Amino acid sequence: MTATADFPQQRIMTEKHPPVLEVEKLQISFRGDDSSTTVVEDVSFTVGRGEVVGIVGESGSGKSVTSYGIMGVLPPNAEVTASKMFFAGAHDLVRLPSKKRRRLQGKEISMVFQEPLTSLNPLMSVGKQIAEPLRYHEKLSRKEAKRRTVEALRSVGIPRAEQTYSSYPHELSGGMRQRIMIAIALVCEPQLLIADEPTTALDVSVEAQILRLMKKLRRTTGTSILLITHDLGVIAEMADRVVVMYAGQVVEEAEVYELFREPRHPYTKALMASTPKIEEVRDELESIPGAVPTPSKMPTGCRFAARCPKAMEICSERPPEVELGSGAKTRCWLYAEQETGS
Amino acid sequence: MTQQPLMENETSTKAAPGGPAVSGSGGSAAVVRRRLRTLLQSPAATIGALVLLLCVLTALLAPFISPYPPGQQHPQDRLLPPFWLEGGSTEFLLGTDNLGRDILSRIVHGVQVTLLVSGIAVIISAVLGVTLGVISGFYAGGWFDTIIQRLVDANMAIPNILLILVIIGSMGPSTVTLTVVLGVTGWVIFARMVRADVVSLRERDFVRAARSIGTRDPVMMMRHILPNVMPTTIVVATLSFGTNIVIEASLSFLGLGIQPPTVTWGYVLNEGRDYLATAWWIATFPGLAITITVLAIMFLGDWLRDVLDPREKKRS
Repeated sequence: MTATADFPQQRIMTEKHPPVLEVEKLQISFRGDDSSTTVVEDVSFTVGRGEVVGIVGESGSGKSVTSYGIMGVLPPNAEVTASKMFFAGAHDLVRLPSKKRRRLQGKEISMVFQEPLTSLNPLMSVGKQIAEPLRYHEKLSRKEAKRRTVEALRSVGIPRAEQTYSSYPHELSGGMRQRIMIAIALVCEPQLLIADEPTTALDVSVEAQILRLMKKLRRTTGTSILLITHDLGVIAEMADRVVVMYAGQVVEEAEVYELFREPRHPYTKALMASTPKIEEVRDELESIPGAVPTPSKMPTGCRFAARCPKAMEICSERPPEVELGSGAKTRCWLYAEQETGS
Repeated sequence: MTQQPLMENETSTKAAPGGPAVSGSGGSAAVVRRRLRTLLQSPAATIGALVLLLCVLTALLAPFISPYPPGQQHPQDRLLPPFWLEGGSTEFLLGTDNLGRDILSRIVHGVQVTLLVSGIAVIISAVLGVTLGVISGFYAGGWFDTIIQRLVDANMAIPNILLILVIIGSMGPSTVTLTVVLGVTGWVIFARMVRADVVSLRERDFVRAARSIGTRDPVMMMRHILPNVMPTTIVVATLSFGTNIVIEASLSFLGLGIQPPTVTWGYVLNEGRDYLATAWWIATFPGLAITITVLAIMFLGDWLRDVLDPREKKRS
């Protein structure tokens, strides 16, 4: 990883190196008492080096579960299978023994969670929490870890870093807490940062600050980011490429400009149409008729068919998968002919 | 509110310029002083602390401050009431029992053993119960949890006092045996309460976040789970302390507890039971001593619980 990664050259780099994350046919189910429920099915995408990939979808689309699966923090009753889930081309995240996985967690892959207050230990000073990954992975002495922690606090824009070191989470504002979470995630300079709705719990003004910070850190460290959100505004601001998820499946994948210029899947279109000028979460759902099917009663065909204005007969039979060239994909019969054409 | 502590820290870091350690927590002396200040801010905790201090001093100085040796009998002055009642004498401030022994002297001499036995037993129970409870809750549903839960169930089915009786009956009564047996049988309530806490704690976001940085299970339990079950532990410990005093008293009554001539409050209390109608003071004063001490410990436990929670500390 060269520190001088300039972003216009990013495409070239993607070709040279193996992608940071390759996911193919990821399936995650939860075992119940006598049945198991599949929440994520047939999810495939890649995250290139230095790239920001956004996963967007409404609540219950399986985007958080996907991120937990990659991070390896699902509850014990979860079952993860995939035909391929490689990190940096070398580590198979599905079959990785827990000891080796721990060596990656917080060091090479790290995560920022949605709720900064509940994701911090209330009884531990924030400095100690930032120092933890350093102590585990780099085996730094207490003193050295503290020095690096103060440095990390400064780099996420926390004023009076030395005093903040010994503060407790409840003493800090929401934005500050999320900065702390980012500092914990980035202190070991990971190759991949998974950000699960990092700004959902924050004010709009603070949200802008946090997004700006994440952009800045990506520029300085070259970390790839997998950004999970339901907010298309955040996607437009941050992502290079977008994966749209619906009911546990990827329905569309495209470059960010392409997606906004020409959304293909009816769900993506509906999502965009329902996003008003002001980014208001609640309106998105209300304007698409119907609801997401429950995981236990998934239709056999396209999962969006019941709510789709353009549903055809074939839609309820089996779902298609359409490659559109230049990395764009959509799971919709409307584009099936284009595929054969191209 | 949050401004205040930050300012304090600012001065403390300035005081040591250039030092590589950017300590914000201040010296340990400063911590003690700050804790003491919060103690004095709570009247209940202050009273609790004073009562316990008095207990400790009494325990240490018993031979010097007690009017008589605890076993000394005064055949002429049997069943005298406390001094402020008719027939009472200032020679025996809290009256005498059926053998003419001074109640006050017996209470004073009983402090030491009573507090030591109950206190050490609570510590043994807490260490055992919290350890087992944390592991059991952290791996809830696993084989270890299953074993522990069956043990807890089995223990609930048998009254604790019966279990203790059987063990002491077979091992022979002594102060050490009693302490250990009280301690070893008392873990169940700790384990149960702590497990319940842990089962909900392990689903919390910060545990998932800690896992996402590669925290190993033992570290997770020690650093993230254990501090968060301390409030529950303290509350259970204060309750358990009181229970221990009462169990010790019952065992002494049955002749299987602390053996005479060692006196404990429970022993004196039980001796007075036969005289409740005629000489209420024999049972009442040791009973009062137990009540006041347990209350003091509860007050102090409440305060300690708040102090251990940084969210509470900054209020006041």
